Amino acid sequence: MAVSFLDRQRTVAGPGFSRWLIPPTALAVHLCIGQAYATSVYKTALVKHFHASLTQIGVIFSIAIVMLGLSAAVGGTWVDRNGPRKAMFVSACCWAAGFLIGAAGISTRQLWLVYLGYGVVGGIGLGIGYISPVSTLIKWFPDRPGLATGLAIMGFGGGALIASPLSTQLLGVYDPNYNSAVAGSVASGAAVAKLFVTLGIVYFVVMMFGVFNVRVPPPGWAPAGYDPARLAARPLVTDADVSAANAIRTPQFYLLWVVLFCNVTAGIGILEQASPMIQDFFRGAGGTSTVTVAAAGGFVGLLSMANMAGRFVWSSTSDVIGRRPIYLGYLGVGMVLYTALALVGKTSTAIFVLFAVLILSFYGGGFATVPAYLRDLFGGYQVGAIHGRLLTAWSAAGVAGPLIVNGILDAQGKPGTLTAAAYRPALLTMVVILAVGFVANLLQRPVSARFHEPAALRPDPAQAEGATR
Amino acid sequence: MTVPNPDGRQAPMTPWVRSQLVAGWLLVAVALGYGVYETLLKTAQLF
Repeated sequence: MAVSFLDRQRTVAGPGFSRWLIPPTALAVHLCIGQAYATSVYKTALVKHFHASLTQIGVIFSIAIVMLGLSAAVGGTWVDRNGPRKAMFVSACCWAAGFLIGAAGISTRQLWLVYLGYGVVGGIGLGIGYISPVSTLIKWFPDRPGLATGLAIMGFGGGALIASPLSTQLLGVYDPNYNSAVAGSVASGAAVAKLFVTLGIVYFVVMMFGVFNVRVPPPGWAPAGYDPARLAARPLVTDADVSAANAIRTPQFYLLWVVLFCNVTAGIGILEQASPMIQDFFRGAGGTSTVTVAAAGGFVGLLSMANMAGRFVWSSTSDVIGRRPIYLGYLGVGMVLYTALALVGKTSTAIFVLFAVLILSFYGGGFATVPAYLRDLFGGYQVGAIHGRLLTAWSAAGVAGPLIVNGILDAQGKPGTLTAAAYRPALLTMVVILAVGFVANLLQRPVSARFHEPAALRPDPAQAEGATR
Repeated sequence: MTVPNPDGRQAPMTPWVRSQLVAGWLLVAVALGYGVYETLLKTAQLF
């Protein structure tokens, strides 16, 4: 069988390769696919261009997130077997093609093409790209998996920070009549189509940097001073390996699924409503909010930064204090913060912002720490494939979180008339959801030895992966 | 089904690879710096 440039065998690092040069290749992918969280920049322009409702345009993002979960779950095994280079290449092709097909849909005013392009094809790129560097980083950083995955997954949060202002500026270039500083100014559909083409090309080039430079460590490689036995002595950390097929038969997988689902559902509840929420919390008796629309936009930006920073800071911290304790913090302290936000959040803007920033940092931390938690429980053998399956919790939470919050708020009154009191039931519901996750995390125990792979079958992840199928 | 490394080929850490990867870190820093700067400009309106 011919070996191509994209095959795992061609990516084995030679002697003297520094592992600190691997994170930029992972970031090259995650910073690009993180654009998915910056779709609000052109949402209004698409509503006007297609004469569609906000919901019809919002479906584009929903399809992409559902496809992310599905492709990560279905393609995780393929990613582990074929290595990061081929996976990153497929992700780059899908992500770029998604933008180009989407641009064609906008230019010809066919919304279904945007659903197919950005939603389905781009969504597959999102899922494959999200999980592609994870197992590679864990293999390069067996002593600090939280730091390694935190660095990469931080890129997903940072992608929106870059794409949002960049897209706004590009729309201004492509449509001279558009001025983002003027309220009510909307970019033309042609400008959004050109933006999609530009982003597709730029993201493809940047992701190819990751494709060309990513390396996997040689079999048996370990960093200097690394002692697996010392690590395995910690609670819930194993030096055995569990296959993806066996992992989904363990209660540990489903407990972690519940933990991730609860953490994401609660965080999305705030993230989705961030801009109207801060305005509603500080609405005066006359119905006017003391927080302007522009300031609310600044609040959303601050939450994005907290989301990004939490991914790196908390995930790295988990290497020191352990994975279960840090999730007890995300969920337990999160419960206290949500309760405080509901009861005393309206006393001052600074207190409200502080609580929300901490909550969003825990939301990001939950995403970034989960691959390291999986590695602790199931070993590094097929951690990419297991991570892919676990990401279905994200898709489910992406539907459940907004449904719960919007459903409760709809019962409280009309948008633009709500006050802090109207948010109390939604916030306290999130406390209950976090409590469920807290209990699920407390119930985590080491995986039973009957699920462990026999040592003789697991020297080469790629070959052993094939053997389990 | 995969085959064991048939030609024993490994990707070495050549100066070209190293320079690309170092450039990668710099690009990441510049891109994130741009994003954070633009976001902080907006956030300043909150206070």
